[in-house]
Amino acid sequence: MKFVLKLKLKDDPQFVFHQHWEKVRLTIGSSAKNDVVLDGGEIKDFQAEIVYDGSKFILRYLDSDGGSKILEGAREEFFIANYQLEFMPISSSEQETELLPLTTSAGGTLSSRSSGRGDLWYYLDPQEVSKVNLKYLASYVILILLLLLFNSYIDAALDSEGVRDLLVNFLSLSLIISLFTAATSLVLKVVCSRFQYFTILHHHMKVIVLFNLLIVFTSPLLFNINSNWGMFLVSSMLTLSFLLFTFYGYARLLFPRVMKWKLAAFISLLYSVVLVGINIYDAYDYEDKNYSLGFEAFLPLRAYSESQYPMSSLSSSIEEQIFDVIEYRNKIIEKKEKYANKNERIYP
Amino acid sequence: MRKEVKMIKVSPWVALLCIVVGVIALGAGSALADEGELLYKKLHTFVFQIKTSKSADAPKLSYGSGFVVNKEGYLLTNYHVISSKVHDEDDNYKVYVVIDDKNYEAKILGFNIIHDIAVVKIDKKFDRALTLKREAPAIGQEVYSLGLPQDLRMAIVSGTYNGVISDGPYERVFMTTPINSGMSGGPTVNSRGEVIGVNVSHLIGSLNITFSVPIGHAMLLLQEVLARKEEFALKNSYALIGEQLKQIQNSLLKELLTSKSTPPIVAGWMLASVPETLKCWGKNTTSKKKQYQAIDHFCHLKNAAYLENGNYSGSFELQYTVLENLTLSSLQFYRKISSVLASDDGLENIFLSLFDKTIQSKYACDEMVIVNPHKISFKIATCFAALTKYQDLYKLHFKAITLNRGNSYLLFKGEFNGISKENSKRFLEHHLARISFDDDGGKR
Repeated sequence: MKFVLKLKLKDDPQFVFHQHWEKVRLTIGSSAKNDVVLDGGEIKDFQAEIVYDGSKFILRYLDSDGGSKILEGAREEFFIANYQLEFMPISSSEQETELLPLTTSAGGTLSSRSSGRGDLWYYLDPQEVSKVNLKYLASYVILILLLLLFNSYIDAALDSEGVRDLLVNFLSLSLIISLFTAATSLVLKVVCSRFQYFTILHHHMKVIVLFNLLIVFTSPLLFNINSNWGMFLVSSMLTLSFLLFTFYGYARLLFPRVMKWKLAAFISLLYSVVLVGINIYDAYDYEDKNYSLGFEAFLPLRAYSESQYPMSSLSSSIEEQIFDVIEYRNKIIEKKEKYANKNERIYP
Repeated sequence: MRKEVKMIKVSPWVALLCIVVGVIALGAGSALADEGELLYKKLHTFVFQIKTSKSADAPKLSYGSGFVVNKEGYLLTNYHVISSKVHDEDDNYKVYVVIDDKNYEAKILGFNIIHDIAVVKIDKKFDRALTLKREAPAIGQEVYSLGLPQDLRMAIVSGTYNGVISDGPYERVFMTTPINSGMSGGPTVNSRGEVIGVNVSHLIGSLNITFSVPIGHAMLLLQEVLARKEEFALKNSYALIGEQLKQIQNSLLKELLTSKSTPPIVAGWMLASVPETLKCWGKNTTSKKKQYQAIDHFCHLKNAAYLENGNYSGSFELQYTVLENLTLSSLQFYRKISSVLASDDGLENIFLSLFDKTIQSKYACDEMVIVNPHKISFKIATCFAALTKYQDLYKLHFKAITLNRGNSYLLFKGEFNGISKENSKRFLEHHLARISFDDDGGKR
């Protein structure tokens, strides 16, 4: 007995994929957790299999106490995530006519393979993957280049520079981004050669690009915000949202089964909070004592919101620094004394 | 065309006069040549090479010259000639005086890093010593320097005496005798062969500007050494150097804080008075498209005290830069200032630079916004590093920028190598407090 599996996108019924199925048993999904939606009703957290007994399909829950349900009729439709699955027994003669190329909206061709357990597992042929990846990466790069051009334009406008400077700025930035993208695509090619991964990347690419766009567009303005805390807040918010979406995208990309959106969002939120916390710690350190943030922190434009002190405060600041460097000096001397010999000079 | 040649008739009296003058001039030149020859003969047996090496036969670590100032075997030289021994903590090296190809081990008996002089002693007695002459020659008089340039052989070179130059705590005889490496520590003598100075340096990039240490400083050191009862302990040399560095900065600070010279006005900014000791330079640069201009006012002390291994202390640099907006919008000008500051060699680089722990500690820095008595806000960043070998002496880097002048920013920065805590406070407070905006355009 052979069957045809029709697979269509729920959101876009125009895309219909057909796949031949020769086994009498098909497990829906392949991991410990699947969402099987049946006739609009939702059954969660069960692994299920469909068995055709010659006259009807039977949906069985593979959990020990899950029981089974006899499905009506010789034709059934299921919804798994975004896909509508339709099973239909066919005769052998119909096989050739029903076999259709399975073309995805992303442009790749679907193949199928079955594991020993009868799982249905879709993937893109490696060649197709690289083609599709290239297509998306190319469009991504073009978009980024456009954004960079815009950014360079803003920079040049603020610096009141000419076209030459604009182009130099643009080309140098483009080079850096291109190298970065090339490295990323290499990683993607190796890691994300499976269809599911790519689909997720495809979905999240839009989000990633959107946030990249936001950051690239706003960065020239960010550097001119006239307040340390304003700058800090806006950059923290952007960092957080960027990380949230990027991490979510990549997490789903790498661990599609485990990393459901809530978990991914939670982890990325946690990660962002840790990063913002580090920023706050750094900022505190810099305000209070150290010059650890480097020259950026010295920019005069960020200084208006800072507390202003009378001249006499300089003295206590110097005292603190001297206290620190005496500590550093003592450490050097202690270390030296440890390895000293009798001929050494005396450090007063 | 035939060229007409005019014959000039010369009176016989004029011709005779010319001959007499010519003979006198030739005689004087010959006398000068004889003078050099005589001085060489008279002095060269009292001037020797002084070297630092692991043993008498080992290759030299450093070398210079020295001359006999006392029949008991005392010689004067430069501190920088024997500094590698002063800092030789593992006692790997010895100082030798080379006399007729024989190496005499020398003891360091005293030194002064401000004037770059040292006294060493060898176990050898001399029939006599060179005469030291405190009185300076008249400007323009011929002087001679002796020494062993480039490790070749004894040489005598001549030049003119041009007076004594004072750079804060540093005093140097300005002359034109061509001193080369290896002649350091040799004597500078007048035409009678009396020592008026100790060869010390030449100005890099100049044709023949050279310096020697006025002999008065060496005589004081020699007196001190001869009067000392106990033996000079080299292990206490860091304390001695520390003291001398403090003398340098105290002298400098005194001049900086009490200078009565007219305060400079740079593009509308009135600054603190700068003593004449500091040499100042100015530069005015307008950007390519005349969008803004940078007016630099740079002052520094020409001299510094040599410490060891190419390191100097007691140097001082001060720079004021005014950035004036010409055509840019506020936002564009702010960005320009940021980029100018970011590209400036300043504090941000000191964290990246490697430093020798035997010389200094790592830096501790701070920054804050302060308001001076003229209600001008500064963002000031200061960085200190402790000099490892010398107590209460620090390296100071600072950078301050005014915040409340929309179209004119003043950047004030500087370096002080070898300053105490108290002096750094006094210096910064003094200079920042005196910066004001000259609203009357300098008419006050």
